[in-house]
Amino acid sequence: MRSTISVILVLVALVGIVIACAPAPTAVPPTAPPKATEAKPAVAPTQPPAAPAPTTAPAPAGVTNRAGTKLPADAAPLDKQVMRYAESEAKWLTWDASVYDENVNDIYTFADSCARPDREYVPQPNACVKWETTKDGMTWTFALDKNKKWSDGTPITADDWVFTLQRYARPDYDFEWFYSMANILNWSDVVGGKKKPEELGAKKVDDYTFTVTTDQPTPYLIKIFADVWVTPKHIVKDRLNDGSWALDKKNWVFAGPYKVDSYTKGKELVMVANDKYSGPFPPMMDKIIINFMEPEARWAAYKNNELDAIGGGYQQDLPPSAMAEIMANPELKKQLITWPNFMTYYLFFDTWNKPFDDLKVRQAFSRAIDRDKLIGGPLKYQGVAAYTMNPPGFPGESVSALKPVQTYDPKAAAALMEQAGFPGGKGFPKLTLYLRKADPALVSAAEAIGGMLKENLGVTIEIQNLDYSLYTEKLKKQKQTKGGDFVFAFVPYEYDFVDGSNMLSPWGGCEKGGVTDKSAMPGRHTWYNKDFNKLLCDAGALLGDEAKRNQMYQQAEKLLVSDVALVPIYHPIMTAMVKLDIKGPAFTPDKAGQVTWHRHRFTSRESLIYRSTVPR
Amino acid sequence: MTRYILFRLLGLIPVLFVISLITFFLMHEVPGGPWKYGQRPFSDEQLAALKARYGLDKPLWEQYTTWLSGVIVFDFGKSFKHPDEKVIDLIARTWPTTIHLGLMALAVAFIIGIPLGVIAALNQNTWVDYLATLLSILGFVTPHFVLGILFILIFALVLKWVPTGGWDEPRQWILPTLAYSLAPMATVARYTRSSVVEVIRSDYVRTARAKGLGERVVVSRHVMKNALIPMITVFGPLIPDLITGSIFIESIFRVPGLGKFWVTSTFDRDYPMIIGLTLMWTLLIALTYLITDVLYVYVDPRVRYS
Repeated sequence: MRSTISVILVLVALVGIVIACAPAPTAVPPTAPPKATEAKPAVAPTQPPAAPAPTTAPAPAGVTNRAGTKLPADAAPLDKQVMRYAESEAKWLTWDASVYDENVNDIYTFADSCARPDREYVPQPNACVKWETTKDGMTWTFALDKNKKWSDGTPITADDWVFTLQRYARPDYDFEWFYSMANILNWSDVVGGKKKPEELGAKKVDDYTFTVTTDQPTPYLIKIFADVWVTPKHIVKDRLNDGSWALDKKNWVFAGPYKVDSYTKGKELVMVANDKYSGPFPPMMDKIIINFMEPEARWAAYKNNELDAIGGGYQQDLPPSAMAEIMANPELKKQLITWPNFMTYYLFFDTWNKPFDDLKVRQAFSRAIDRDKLIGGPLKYQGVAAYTMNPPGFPGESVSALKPVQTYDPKAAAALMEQAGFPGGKGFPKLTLYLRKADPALVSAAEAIGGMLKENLGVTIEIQNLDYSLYTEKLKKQKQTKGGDFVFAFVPYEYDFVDGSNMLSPWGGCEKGGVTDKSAMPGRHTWYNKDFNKLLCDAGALLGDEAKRNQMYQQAEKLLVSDVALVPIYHPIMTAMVKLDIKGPAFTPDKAGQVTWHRHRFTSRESLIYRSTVPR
Repeated sequence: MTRYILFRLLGLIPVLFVISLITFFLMHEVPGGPWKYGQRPFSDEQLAALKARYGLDKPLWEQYTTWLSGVIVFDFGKSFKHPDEKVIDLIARTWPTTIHLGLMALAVAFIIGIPLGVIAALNQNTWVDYLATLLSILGFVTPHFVLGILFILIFALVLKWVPTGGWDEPRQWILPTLAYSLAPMATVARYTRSSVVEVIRSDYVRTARAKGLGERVVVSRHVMKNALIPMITVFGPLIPDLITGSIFIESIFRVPGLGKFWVTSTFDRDYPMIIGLTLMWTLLIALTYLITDVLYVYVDPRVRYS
């Protein structure tokens, strides 16, 4: 027995020695920054950042990256032209595999799209250098850039673009619904396997020209085509490939300003400037490293100079606690970029069933919630109060006109409840407010809403935060079965493309002839309005008169808000932190003087930034 | 003894079978699937296509028998979340990192925990004991993620001694190891203390002292040797617990290990991974208890398996 115990003790001691032999930490990490002596001025919403003057000697003139892009005079040496971001590791690598489980922020870097929106969201030529439509608006002809090549040197041709659209039209593609909004001829039949992909309304004319035919005029089609990212036909070959083609290194060919250099699972994705790229966004930064990191680890890593930028995405890199720290620290505040996003967080109801089939109940709820109090409390630094689905600045918005419809008025709210037969909430059922994978700030906001409803209406609310699958299945089931406990929820909706049709689309659209069942109507929610659908349908097909279209969307939204299909709560403000030595055209403000760090504003922001010699 | 071990090992087969069966049917009961929803629900046709892609359109019994036939040749299928990797390859890729972290944490836990427990026991009801007890309780009740964030704040952001995370170089191992080791260290210290306190009151220790042996000899030869016996029961299960990782530690410190998959595979509805991990855990626990039972024979002459 003595020997056994000795063996155990020796083993313990050996492991201890292994630990003890590990190199000791050094006093200063190699990435420790020099102390800033002069910093970039604060970047506040709607204010452009002033360019800081370099305080150290710039690198020798003529720093040129591996793609041949000559960097500005104040650029740091080439080995410093590395940008480090953080992302959660996703399942797929490319857009054609999946949009909801793909490293979304990367696609804009190593892929290339037909058109690109400028800072004012107007589609600009990119890989498609020219497009025109027939008078009836049903056929679009796209001319391609003849100089474009894949990173393996193969020309990018109309075959690739037609193949890309055919590939999007497959039933197991999670973003198929988005492209269905382009109304491309035979789309749903190809998706459903009733027609061959060759019968899709996308045809090659010659190597550098293709056409798209729609089944109804679709004036906003080009905005959707800003999100058509070309897929290499000569590599993928199989239209129905699930996306795993891109997980094999030997298939790595890319069209964007960058190409994937290495992918280490669980650790990082490394991209380098693509020397075969030609187009309006030649890469400036030489290398981009995406560290796979969960959101809760990012703020500390950024502060410790292990990352060059965080935020600007969908995950909460900068929770309220981090924002409070930034706002209280002038040095950190200089690195902050904030901008409004076209997105709305809203409450919605099952208006087909009790108790929300009564307009008075919905109105009472809409007037019992003090948005300003939420913005000053759990949602501090997270957004601005919302009273409409379309956010300020979005085409077709009518924020000022509709604001009075749902303003906070607890007395009126209580009176409406009484008129509905629930004085002081008496007799009103206990409700569950469902959330969809909400972050802690949103859960707190939901709890605050519950408190307001209790205080102002006497209604008791319980909060349930569901994962995406559970939430979505409950939502779908509620509409199909027209009954269940999913009667009240709190979710966001972000624009897909900047057009008046888009943010109203969750609520309806063109009705199919002969369909009378409400549950089969367009839109995802249990709310139906025939006039709303007609307005959306007619405006969607109206050619050549954007002002008229937007008026129709305004009318539609008035119906939506007045009928309290939803209670808008807030429009989020996006936040990002970017180190002060990162400079470039990406920080050029738009016409409103707004600087953003947003994926949708312009392609490949990495193409438009470089690391300067300005101290951090 | 060999017969006993063989019998226990054979007994694992029905256990694993039943566990796999329960896990398989339970995980399929949870709504959703191995696809991610966006803002809009999928149509029925899309859902059917997605199910077909993952083979989920077949009857459950057929899915189970297909899976089981793979298991016989040690093929647990491909991960739904990592479609280019088999479950077994994914575990082989990530587990060594987790084992590495777990063993280091275990070593720290033992190296600090055992002396701490012994010192507390030898100075029972003095300030030394109270301090050791306080440290143990703090280590035990403070969650990993709180310790992790605290360590990052102090050692990475304020003192700048180490990076906030990563796993490329030894200095990146320090914080996760420390954060991960405190709870087991507290367990080790508490049980060591209890065990030693009990042993030092025993007759043979009194006899050893009466013989005139020095305190150091009494503790090392008589107290520790006997105090370790009951501790084997407690320390055994610590090992599988530590070497299978923690989602909190691995997420906060960016350790590319297996720990996060225990949670994320459920959220991702990664059925092959869920069932693979469940069986792995069952096997580890069962083997740990088997080894613990066998060790008893060697450390306690009173124990015999016939």
